[in-house]
Amino acid sequence: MKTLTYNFAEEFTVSPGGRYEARSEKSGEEFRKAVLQPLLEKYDRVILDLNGVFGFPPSFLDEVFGPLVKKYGRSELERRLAISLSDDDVALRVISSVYEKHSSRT
Amino acid sequence: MRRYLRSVSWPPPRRLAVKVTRKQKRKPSQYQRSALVVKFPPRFDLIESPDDTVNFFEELRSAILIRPRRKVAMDHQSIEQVSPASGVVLIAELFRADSYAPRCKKTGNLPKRAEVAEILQKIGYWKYFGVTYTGKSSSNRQFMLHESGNRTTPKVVVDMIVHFREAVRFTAREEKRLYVALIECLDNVMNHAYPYQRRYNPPCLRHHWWVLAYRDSETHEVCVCFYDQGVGISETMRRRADNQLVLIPETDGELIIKAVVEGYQSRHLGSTRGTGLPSLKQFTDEAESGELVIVSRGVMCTFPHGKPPVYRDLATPFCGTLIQWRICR
Repeated sequence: MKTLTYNFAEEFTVSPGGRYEARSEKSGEEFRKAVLQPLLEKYDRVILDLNGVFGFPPSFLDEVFGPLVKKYGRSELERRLAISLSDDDVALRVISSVYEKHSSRT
Repeated sequence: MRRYLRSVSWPPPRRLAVKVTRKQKRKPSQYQRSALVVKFPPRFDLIESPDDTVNFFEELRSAILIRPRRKVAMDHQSIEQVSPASGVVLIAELFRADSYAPRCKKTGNLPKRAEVAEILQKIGYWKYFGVTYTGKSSSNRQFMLHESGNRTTPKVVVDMIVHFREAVRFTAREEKRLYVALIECLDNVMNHAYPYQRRYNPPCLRHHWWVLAYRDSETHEVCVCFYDQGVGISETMRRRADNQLVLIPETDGELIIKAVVEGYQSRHLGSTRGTGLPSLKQFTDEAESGELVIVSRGVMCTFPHGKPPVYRDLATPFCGTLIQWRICR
């Protein structure tokens, strides 16, 4: 089983931007399409370390995780993607509400 | 062209949706030969004296964009007071003028009051006249201007937060909240203020935002002013409500207040949209003093610290949306 730990702050940015790639630098769409989606296809399990960042805008998180929940389903995504975030409980709550919102729509 | 810029009948009638892809400029033959003097109001302050200031901007827009002159003389002599919010709108208008009507020559005199000239120097106004004001600085306010951008730029927000650190001590948690709120505000401008439909895109429009921030180390005050020349918050919300069949308040003022006050509640219910302004309001509620002011099209809404929000209709509709957030702690 291939597992990878990805450090968001070191490998992507410490200052995430908005929702769409066309209208924002370091956007959620860019991160999902260029980084997270390929990693999930390549590895059986990805551990995403989101610590050490200025903050996560809700629209960024919605754009990263929403389409993935729709694609894989909540339980499958939770099995394949582990999130490590200890310094931002608000962002953690937003991620869990994104999971809930999009899983109820699938 | 005139039809688009006279905001009395905004928005203009529906037309086919066409993407606007190229920047347009005025043809040389379209400039009027006669010069025009545009006089600033004594209180050039969009928050304290909105009607006079909005009228001034309409006059300036008319002289530069609607019926462009070869030469426009700006009379600064009478300015007694200038606010950062007015400054950022002024800079945005000159930016647009340089881009759309570059042959319009701008001249002017210096203000009588040195403080006014100094503030205008600090926000980068005089460079549009090709001059530098070299008067001695007496104010504690440290300005940081990012003139414009056409994408959400996290670096601008990081720079602002770092700039504020000398005046106000935010905890790490508060800095995260502030970062998120400011990014959301910028992202909302780029995603909603400038729809692609042709009826919202007069030739002179540039899809940009402008931000002006300052800190005052003596009063421990920080302030951010956002400005965009887009369709306005209420128009955006009405368009979205049309799509979602949602009942919304009748007046623009009530609509904006509802968005800011109830947006805060929806944030706790897991919504990921419209969270920027509610979060900024929460900062003003928690600070010693401060306010959030939104001027959008025909209405000005104020959310003062410790008081219920109020709104008033403007005599002349304002072009775009200005958000001023200021706290003292």
